[in-house]
Amino acid sequence: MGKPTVEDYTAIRMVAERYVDAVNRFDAEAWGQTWAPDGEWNVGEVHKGREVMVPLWTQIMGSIPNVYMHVYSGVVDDVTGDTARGRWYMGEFLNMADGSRSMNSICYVDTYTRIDGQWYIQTREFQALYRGPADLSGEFAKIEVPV
Amino acid sequence: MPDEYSAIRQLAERYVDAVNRRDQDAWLATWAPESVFDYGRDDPPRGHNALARFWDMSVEGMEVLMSVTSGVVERVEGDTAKARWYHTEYVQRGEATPLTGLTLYEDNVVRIDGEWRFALREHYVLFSAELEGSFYPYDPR
Repeated sequence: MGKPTVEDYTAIRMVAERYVDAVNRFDAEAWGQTWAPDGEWNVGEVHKGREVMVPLWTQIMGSIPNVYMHVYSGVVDDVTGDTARGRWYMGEFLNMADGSRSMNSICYVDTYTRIDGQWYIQTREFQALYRGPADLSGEFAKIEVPV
Repeated sequence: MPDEYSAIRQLAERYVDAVNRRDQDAWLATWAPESVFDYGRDDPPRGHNALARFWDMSVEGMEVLMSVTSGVVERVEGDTAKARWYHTEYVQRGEATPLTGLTLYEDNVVRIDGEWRFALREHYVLFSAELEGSFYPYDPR
């Protein structure tokens, strides 16, 4: 385990922010470019590889009238060679096709791979920390981080 | 690119810090001399004098708290750059219902004497909701 350099932290933060920017702009190509080619997206079930994830993401996003995400904060735990681990806390304003709306707080538990000097998301596990309306009457959950 | 990202992010964060502290001088210092703030109305303020008048009309007297949440620096070409920043904002004007929301700034940024400044900020509201709660003045001990 190695402590991330400022440059590593900044570069990985930029990946986390490019991810939400791609969601907000509904830009499938930019979203796909944040992932390693064989990345794994865990949203309850695991989807592997850009060629699988990008069409699935496009389908999901096409069914959601509005979703806006933003990064609250995050950490990079360690960098070992060209791999790293991190977590990002994000807010999500969601307007679903059935008319339901929510202001969610989520956490992405990530690993990263550096390929040709560029960091990519290798694995990303979605964890909902709060789901529900802005009055906080919804459901909270504890974060679970793999050791 | 991480260096430019960090420097331009600091500019975006100085902007919201100036608004939160109601520091007009610090806010104006984030703008290039002939910059434009396009907030969706005709005849947007251009240049420091017009921006200062805009501040006097809009920010003074408004309860507002902003923070930069996410953003990207799209590209850097020499001393110019394009960037995009998402803000959470909490706002109340007069007796109106307080609002919270997510806003977007699409920016053209220029580097003048080694310092990045805003040349153009386009402001968009992406989400807003009514807010319950109280605002307190920025008043550090």
